[in-house]
Parts: sequence; C-alpha cells; structure tokens
Amino acid sequence: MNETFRLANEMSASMSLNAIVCYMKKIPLIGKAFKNVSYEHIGLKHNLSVIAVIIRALKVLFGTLLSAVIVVGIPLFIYSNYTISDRRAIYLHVIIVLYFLFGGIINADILSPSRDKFIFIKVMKMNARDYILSNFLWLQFLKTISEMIVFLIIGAILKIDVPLTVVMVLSMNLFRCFGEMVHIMYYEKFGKLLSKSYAIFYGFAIALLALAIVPIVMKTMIQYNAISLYVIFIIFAILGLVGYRYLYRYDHYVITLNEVNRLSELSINVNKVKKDASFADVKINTKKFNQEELRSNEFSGKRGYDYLNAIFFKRHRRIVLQPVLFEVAVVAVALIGGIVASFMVKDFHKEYTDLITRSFTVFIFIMYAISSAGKMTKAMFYNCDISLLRYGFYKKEKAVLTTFSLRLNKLAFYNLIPAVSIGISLVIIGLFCEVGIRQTLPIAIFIVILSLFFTIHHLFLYYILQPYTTELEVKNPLFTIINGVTYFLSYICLQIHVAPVWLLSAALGATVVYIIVALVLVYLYASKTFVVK
Amino acid sequence: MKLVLKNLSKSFEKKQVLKDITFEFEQGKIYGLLGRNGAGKTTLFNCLANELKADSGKAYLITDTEERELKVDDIGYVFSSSILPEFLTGYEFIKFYMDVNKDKIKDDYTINDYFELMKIKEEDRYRLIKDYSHGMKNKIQMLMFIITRPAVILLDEPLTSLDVVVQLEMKKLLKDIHKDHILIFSTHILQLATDLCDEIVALSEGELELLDHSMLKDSQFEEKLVRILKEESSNE
Repeated sequence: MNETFRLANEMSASMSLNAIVCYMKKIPLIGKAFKNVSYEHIGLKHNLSVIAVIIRALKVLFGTLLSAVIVVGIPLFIYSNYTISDRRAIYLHVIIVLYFLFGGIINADILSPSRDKFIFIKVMKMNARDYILSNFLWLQFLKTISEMIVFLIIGAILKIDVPLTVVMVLSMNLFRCFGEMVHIMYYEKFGKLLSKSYAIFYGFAIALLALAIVPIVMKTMIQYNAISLYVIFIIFAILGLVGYRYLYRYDHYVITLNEVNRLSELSINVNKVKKDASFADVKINTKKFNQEELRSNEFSGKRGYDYLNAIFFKRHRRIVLQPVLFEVAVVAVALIGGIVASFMVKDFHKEYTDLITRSFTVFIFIMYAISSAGKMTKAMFYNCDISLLRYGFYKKEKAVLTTFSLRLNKLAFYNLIPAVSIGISLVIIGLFCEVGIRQTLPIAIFIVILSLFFTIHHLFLYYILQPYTTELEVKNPLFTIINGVTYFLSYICLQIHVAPVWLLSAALGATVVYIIVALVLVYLYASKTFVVK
Repeated sequence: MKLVLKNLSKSFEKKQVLKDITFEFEQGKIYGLLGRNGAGKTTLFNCLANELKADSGKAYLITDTEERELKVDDIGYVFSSSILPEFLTGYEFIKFYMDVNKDKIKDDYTINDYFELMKIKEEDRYRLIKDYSHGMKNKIQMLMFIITRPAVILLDEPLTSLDVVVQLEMKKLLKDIHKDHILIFSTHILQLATDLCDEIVALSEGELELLDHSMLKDSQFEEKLVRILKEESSNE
C-alpha cells in the first residue's frame, strides 16, 4: 500500500506542479521569473514526495480555512451582536448539521469520478483498494490536523473547552467513513451513484441546508450542554468506526471504481466538457433558425464586415435583445410603481430624494449587472472570432478596427435602450416627487454613460487582452483579475449608502476618461493584441 | 514564380523544430510534405502563414517581375480541421468572404457559380456551417482559395478524413488548378503523396529534403523513405 501511495502521490504532485508553473508563466511580470523554469526539472526530482506532502497539506489547510470562514464565519459575523452563549449555540449547530451531516454524507469522495482516479486506477492499473484507502486515510489525516488548528482557534474565541474541540474534530473525521460507507452500500444495492440519484441526494442536501439555516434565523438553536455534546460526538465516532470497518473489508473497489470512472463521465474529456460548459450560454442553437431566416435576403444590401456583424447580432438576439426587452418591461413596471407610490406612500418623496442624491451608486452595480457586453464578447469569440482570426485578412489592422467599431455601435445601442429607459423613468418619477430635473438629470446622464462605460470596458478587455485560447480556456490571469476587480468595485458601490455629493462628478469624470483611454488603446494596439492564442 | 525559404528556424523552448531551412518551391508543382508525427509540418506551415513568428530566416516570393517577402495575402491555408464561423450559412460566409476580398478576385463568377463548381447542393448552401459535415466544411475551405487564388496554397492533412467521393473531387480540383500556384500538401499517407504530388519533400530533424525522382518510381521507395525518416529520428 505504501508503494502505491508514494507513486500516486508523486505523480499527482508533478501534475499539479506543472500546472502551477504553466499558469505562473502567463502572469505578467511574475511570468518572467518563471520563464526559464523547465518542466523537465520539476517533473523528475526525487525529493518530490516531500513537496507533494507540503502542497497537499497546504491545499487542505487552505480549504479548511476557507470553508470555516464561509460556513462558520458568516453566521457568526451576521449575528455578532448575540451573546457569547448564543453564538456558541449557532457554532455548534452549524458544526453538527453542516460539518457532520452535510460534510460527512453529502461530500463523499471515494466514489465520485475524478481525473486522478481515472488515470491511476483505470489507465495505470494501480491497485484500486490500496490507492483509494491510502489516499482517503491520508486526506483524513491532513483534514484532522487542519481542522484541529482551525477549530481550536475558533473554540478559543467562543470559549469552548479544548478537550471538547479535540473530540469533536476526531469524531467528525471518523464519521466521514460512515458517509463513504453509505455511498458504497447504496451503489452496491441500486447500481447507481447516490450523487446521481438526484431526487434523494438533492432532497437530502436541501433538507440539511434548511435544517442549518432555519433554527438560526428563528433563533431556536438547541443549547447543548457539554455532556450531551460528548455523547453526540461519541455516537458519531462509533458510527464512523462501523464505516471504517466496512471500507477496510470492502473488496469490490476495482470493479466499482472502474464502473464509476467512465470515459463518458469525465475522463480525459473532463476539461473539454468543463470548457465547453463555460460557453454553453453563448452556443448557437441551430434548431432555432428556420429555412426562411437562413435563406432571407434581409442583409443582402450590406457588405463585408457590416454584413457579417448584422447577421451575428441577428443570430444572437437571444443573448442581446431578449434581456433588453425584459429589462425595459421591468423599468416600465417600476415607473408605474414609482408614480403610484408618489401618491400613495407617505415618505416616498423623501426616500426618492435620498436615492437620487445619496444612494445613486446603486446604479453602478445595476448597470454592471445588466450589461450584456461581457457575455457577447464570449459569444463573439466562440461563434465567430475563434475561427475567423485564423485567416490573414481578418487579422489585418483595418479589419480588426472595423469589427471593433461595428460591434461597439451595435452593443452600445442595445445596452443604451435599458439605460435610457431607466434615466427617463428617474426623471419622470422625480417630477411626481417634486425632485427637480436639475437633480435627476445628472443621474440619468450618469446612467447612460455607465452603460457606455461597461460596453466599452468589456469590448476593450476582449480586444486588448483576448483572454480565450482555441482550447476555450481563459488563459490570461490579468483578464480574470480585472474582471474580479470590476465586479468587486461595482459591488462595493452597492454598499455605499450615503454617497458624498462630489462623488457623482468624480465618477462621471473617471468614467469619461476611462472610455477615452480605452478607445485610444484599442486603436493603437488591438491589431497586435487581438489574436488567437 | 517561386517560393524561397532562407535560413528559416523555429524552436519551442529547447526543442529546435525547424533548423535553418533553405529551400525552393516552384509554381505548377504539387509538393507532398512527408514527415513523422511531431516532425514540424504544421509548424512550418504556421511560420509561412504568419500564424507563428519564425525565430530567424524569411520566406520570399519571386515572380518574373519582382522579388519580395512573402505576405499573408499570398497564402491560402487549409487547416487540417476546418475552422469556419459556425453561425453563418455557407452562402453567407462565401458572400462575406468575397466582399472583403473583392480586390483579389479575378474571375467574374457569382456565389452560386462557385457553389456549382464545388458541387455543393442548393439546399446545403443555406444551412448553418455548424451543421455541415466534415467534408462540406472542407469544400468551403477549398472554395476560399479558389475564389482568391493566392500564390501559395498550404494544405495541412486536408484529405485524410474525407470520404472517397469527396476525396476524388478534391484531388481533381487540385490537379486542375495547380498550374497557377505553388501547392504544398502535408500528409502522413504515403499513397496520397505519391498519387497526387509531383515532388516529395521529407521533413525530419528539422530539415527539408527533396527526394530524387528516380526514387519515386523505385519499387523499394516505401522502404527507402521509411529508412530516411527513421534514421534521422534515431539520431535524436
């Protein structure tokens, strides 16, 4: 078992190391430092198992921290004004429902198909039982240590006895054997993965989530005392031991794992499926187009790139036009609602003045959220540019700039429709609420410019960074980072409840400057940067 | 007209794929480029078509009147798996292609004339390219260079996965047009190369070698060629 474990461990380590180096090479600045790192040297070092252990341990520790922050940290943060005993009750409730039951039973690992299992068991014919058990035990060992660290810290904050936390973590990890047992027994009995029996699996998962959240929100958590907790944890541990005995004695690993890890399930295509899925929302559905449309002469008056662009937007109206119509409908309803409210609701005038003068940053997030430009650039790549960029004529500076400006016009037009409707509605509701045009008009203009801003922003990133590869991956860390930052900034704007007056002029100014800079950069560099990698 | 490569080199990290290649291709001949998997056939094509930048060396086009560097416009490149915008119908794509390349078109055929030429049925012209079979997509790619008639035509494994009927049609077509062009054709399939090509060029060890004509007719040709390709790779 040791040999199997060592081999598999080293191999996954070199696979993940290679992936890390490959990614690092692509980050600007940092990439230079990695430029001369050759895969040969990292792949063949004999002390790899040490690195493998460290990487795996760090990954597990990080994962534990992250899940603790999300699962435990968020509820404790939301209810930070509760007394310590209430917060302790929330914590223990979350631990029992989400860590023991949800984590132990829903998150089973042994039978879930994975690339590693496919490679090691199916392709390389490693001993399945040795591979699975050694890996599982090793992972539980790392988890136990990480969780011990994390929960001892949380325990110290919430003043929970150290022995209780120690028993809790040990029991939690033992209980995972029980969860694995349930999955394997289910598979043996029904010949189907529990995680693929959607009704049962998701029903159970949703029930557990409800069980986790509802008592906290209603403030009806059970106030456990120490003795009952010890009893509960020991029961979980005993169940875990039963599970462990089952896993140890189970002798169908080879057959079961071979059945579960099917090529069609994941296999070598797992990446392609994943990549393809990330473009699923922009795929062309050929069944949607009838012969009449495909034979139509609607655009026969147009020529060249104009013709191409017109057909492109026509065939993608599901992505671009339908949301616009929906948004306009929503705005219309809001407009009527606003007018009605200005007569019926007592403090509406004051609230509305507040929205216009102080909370206008909320529109930054709204405009970010409804802009279809990001999705459309994905469609442009997947359905059009990925192929045409392979041809010389399409890569010429003139062609690149022509498609850029044609696309910008169309996209800006579609995105301006909801923007203008929102702007006009604001002004109209303003009139009913005795908020003057002098106050509402700047906001309306701001919204229109924001819509333009997000359109140009997405198209600019696409033409300057062109982040997608022919393999349909986003291979540009800078693109991911900028997108994350854009989202984060827009989201922050949602949190500003009282914006200072000068912010509007500053935001307006910055937006206009950004638009100009982006356009200039595209005109200078796009013909060099807009290529397929 | 001649396509001349001068000292063309290309490496990926430490692996040198093209080693200082100097070679001449002549108009009116179909060249079969043979090489083992990974020998660098596609790399060579990509360097010529400016998909990749060569580390050093250049390609020139020499005509009766001038001698100049090879430009992207001189090249028609048929990829091994066809790469076409799938949201358009065949008709729309060809119309678009003719529009943007109108300064290069010398014939006065209509779009439908071209489709007739390629034996693409009327109903197929108005289907989305996404729904085309491999052979249909390939025909569209071939049609692209029939329309613009670039001086140099590079075909990367084009006929390998076509059915016999389309294969024959395409072979005929290539034979019909080859007089006006420099045609380079990469393939693994020896029979296709000997069948269709006037000259056979072996790419191995990063170098191009024109095989002697006498060898083509030799009954031992196959063994000899394999020996050439193998010998060189065993030196690696």
